[in-house]
Amino acid sequence: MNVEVHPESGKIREQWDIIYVADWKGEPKKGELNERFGLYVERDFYVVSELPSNRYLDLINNRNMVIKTPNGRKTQVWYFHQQTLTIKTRLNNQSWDI
Amino acid sequence: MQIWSTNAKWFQIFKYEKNQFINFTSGKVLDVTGAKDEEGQAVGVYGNNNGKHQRWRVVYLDKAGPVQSKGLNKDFGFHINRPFYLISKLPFNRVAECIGANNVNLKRWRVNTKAQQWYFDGVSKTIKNNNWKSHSLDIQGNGGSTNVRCTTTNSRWW
Repeated sequence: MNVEVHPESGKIREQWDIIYVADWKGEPKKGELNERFGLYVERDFYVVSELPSNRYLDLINNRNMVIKTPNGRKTQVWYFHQQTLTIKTRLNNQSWDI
Repeated sequence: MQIWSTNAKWFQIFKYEKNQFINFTSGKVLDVTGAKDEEGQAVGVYGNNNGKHQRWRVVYLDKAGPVQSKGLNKDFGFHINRPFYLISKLPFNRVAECIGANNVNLKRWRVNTKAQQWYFDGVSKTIKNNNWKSHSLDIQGNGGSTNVRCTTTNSRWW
């Protein structure tokens, strides 16, 4: 991916942080919080709806997202993957995708 | 929303903030479609209106309580893992039996016949057969039929 110059648009692609080398902590490791993304790295979690029944985010046909009552299956277990910055399923390590 | 092979493009990047999963680029949030609090209801992304159908709790497994493995499940009205008979109130009081890991028929009660015994499984939240323990009561045709079968557990709504 090239870095270019363009007239200012204010978009995120034109915004940068400066972090001095001496202050650079590196990327969060397994078990540590990624503060930008609000999730701990590779720490398994459920996603629980705040609708009254508190159903869990789940998969049907191992593909599509739905809410279901807790069932102990891997289709309800997720983790944040630091290298790709995606949320993955413990079922087959594929990522959330619109 | 779905899961797909990881490509780390913008439509796969979400952050968790103030109880919402927000797509980093579009700003759309994880959303229970139609705000319907129903089993198997689809989940997608939508513009943020901060409704309860767009808010989620993250429960880390190492902080979650153990799955209930015995006692009464109040939501479903069954004692977990405790075998029972399904006895018809018709005059002969026959019981439901799983025949050949497929059909469910009314039969006369027989002593120690595990195919006539059922139990509520606290993990899958289904009624399993005590003989074929990988099989659960199931409405045939993905819920589209009136026939009840005993088939491989899938925890779908039917």
